[in-house]
Amino acid sequence: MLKTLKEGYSYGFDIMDVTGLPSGTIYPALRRMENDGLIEGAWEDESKAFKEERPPRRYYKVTHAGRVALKDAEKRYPLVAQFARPRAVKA
Amino acid sequence: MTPHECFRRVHRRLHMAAYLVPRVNRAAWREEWIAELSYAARQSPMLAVALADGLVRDAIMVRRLHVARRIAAIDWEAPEACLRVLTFCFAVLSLASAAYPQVRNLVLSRWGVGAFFCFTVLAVLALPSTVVTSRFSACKAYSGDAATMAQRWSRWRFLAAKLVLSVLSCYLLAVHVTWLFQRLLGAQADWLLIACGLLFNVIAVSWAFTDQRQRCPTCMRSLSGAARLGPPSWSLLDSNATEEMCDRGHGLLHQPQWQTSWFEYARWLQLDSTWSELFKR
Ligand SMILES: [Zn+2]
Repeated sequence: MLKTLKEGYSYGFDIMDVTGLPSGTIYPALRRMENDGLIEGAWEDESKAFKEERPPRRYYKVTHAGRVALKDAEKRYPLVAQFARPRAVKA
Repeated sequence: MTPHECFRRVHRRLHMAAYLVPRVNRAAWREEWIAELSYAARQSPMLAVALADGLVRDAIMVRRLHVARRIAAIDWEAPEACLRVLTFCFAVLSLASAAYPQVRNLVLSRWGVGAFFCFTVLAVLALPSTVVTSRFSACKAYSGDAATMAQRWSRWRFLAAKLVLSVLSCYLLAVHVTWLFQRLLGAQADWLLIACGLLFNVIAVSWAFTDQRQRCPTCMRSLSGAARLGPPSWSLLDSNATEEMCDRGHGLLHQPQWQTSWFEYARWLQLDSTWSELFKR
């Protein structure tokens, strides 16, 4: 999950899409990681959500401690590094 | 499933799961989920239903983290924490007594009043036992401390509250034990109550005094960081003691491991304000 967040998938719903894990696993894990200081959450810009006619969503990004933990995990489990590809940024 | 049914199902689940979330986090939690669900519903209503499957587990996790944070924030060394735990025990035992009509009637009957009187007498009789169980006098250690009159008064109040709460809890516990064996013992159960009273009171009263002695006389916080002084094999040649300190820097309690003619009682060394810099948080 840290890896997918680092690759630019910032929302719980996007992480579900990439990892194929159910919401009952993704969201509690996000809470726990936020509690442990590995990620931090923030609300997206209201104007963007307004344009798409939906309420603003909460996105998550990896903190410094999270990046360290991810590097550690990648060293220990090399397959993690190949797990998620960077998200294509829309032009 | 029609989109309308999907929407109703998601709404019901969100409403139910929100009750599991602590009140302080509820509004933000609900807002986040509404945003995620409406984003999913725009793609397909069934996707929103699948997403809503995680609502309860997420709500439970938020509650668990909240409880864990609250437990971590408890200052276990503080006297308030000790009184809160005792009050909690007493409340649980009172509720348990109220829940069983037989126990409730037993406590409120004439027998209950007589048993309580007997119990209080046993608690007073248990006081001398603390001389044996508490090591080398509780009061002497603090006779020379620099506590103010108000601090001394609050120390006694704290001790009294501990004694009252623990003796009352012991009484209710003893009634529960007696009630459990009443069918088996019949009229002999009264003796069981007296035996329980004696045992529980000795434990409770000596705990109250031992705990009191393990606290700083200025702020009533539990002393910590026990350090052993002197090698035990030199017990006849040198002092052999344990030293504990107040984590707010009010002083040190020096307790001898064995009572000797040159080191008979525990000693409290009060530290003045010049030490406060060392203990700053
Ligand atoms: Zn203190």
